[in-house]
Amino acid sequence: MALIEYRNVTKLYKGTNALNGVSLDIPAGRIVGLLGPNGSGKTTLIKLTAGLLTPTSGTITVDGFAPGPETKARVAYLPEKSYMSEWMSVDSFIKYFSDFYADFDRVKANEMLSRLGIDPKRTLKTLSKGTKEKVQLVLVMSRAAKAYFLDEPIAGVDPAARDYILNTIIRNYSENASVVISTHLIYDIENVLDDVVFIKEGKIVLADSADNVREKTGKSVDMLFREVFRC
Amino acid sequence: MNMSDSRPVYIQLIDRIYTMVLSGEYPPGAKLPAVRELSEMMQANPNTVQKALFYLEEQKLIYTQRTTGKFITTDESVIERIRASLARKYTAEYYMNMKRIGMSVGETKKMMNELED
Repeated sequence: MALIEYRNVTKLYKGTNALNGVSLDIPAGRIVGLLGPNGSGKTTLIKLTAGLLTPTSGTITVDGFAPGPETKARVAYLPEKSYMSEWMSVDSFIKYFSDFYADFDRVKANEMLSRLGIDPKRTLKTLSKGTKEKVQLVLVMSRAAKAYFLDEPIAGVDPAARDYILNTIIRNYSENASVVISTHLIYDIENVLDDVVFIKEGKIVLADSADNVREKTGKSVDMLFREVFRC
Repeated sequence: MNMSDSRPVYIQLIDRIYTMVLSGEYPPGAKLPAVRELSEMMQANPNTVQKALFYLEEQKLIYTQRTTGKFITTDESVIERIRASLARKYTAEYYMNMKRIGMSVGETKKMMNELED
């Protein structure tokens, strides 16, 4: 049994198919790129896994559990758009997370923040966009989760912040957990990925290891992506 | 790392480690950083780095000391063999590029000699 399993998952949104019969296995210990253009269904798939949406049909299991309290305890989710209140301090978010998640490692979070030189007393609205992204990533990665779902973690951040984010993902790698990163900025992350999943108009068009893609097609993942999704 | 390089990433990593060893950054007998550290340094997936190291171990360029980590071989013949094979590969690539822009082997050699001084 794979760590995360999708079986024929369909999600209808106002009459349109946001996801259409998605079946996919994500084993433990993999860093997976969920790759597709805007509106292809990446965020829908992630929200379904995080238990924020329910599928119209089909099933999802994480570590054997259907979405619910058991999966919320196992899935760490970094949303695309911040849900964090601007007037709250970094400190209060740490408290918030340690109250909410049994697997949250407060010491680790504080360590990561101090290494970044972020003063925990500061409120979010005083931080730059890149720093806010880093704070959110620190919170998410400080959980000892089974699955990390990062929705567009590198969109709109400067190259130094992007390097920090990628290095944090690498440093926290565990063979017992999986990391799923959704992005359309493949060039920046393809060397970090074990596996790639191409999603197009709510359907999976390719799921393979990144090195298999290169070996079979003679193209980098970025090159293949541009071909598959050519406008 | 060249991201538009379409070769499998582990092969690109192998080339980078070759260069680190041959340039003296990791001399014979030197200890290699742990997989996680190497992954960060090269900004590459830990499983892919593992795969590259596995290959290099089969080639006997590196060896594992059970408790202390991975080391570069002290067997100079292995290193010289790799140096020779990389040198052949780079020379072939260079000649191919020169040929593509219309340079003969003779002209190319002449330019190489001019480079010397």
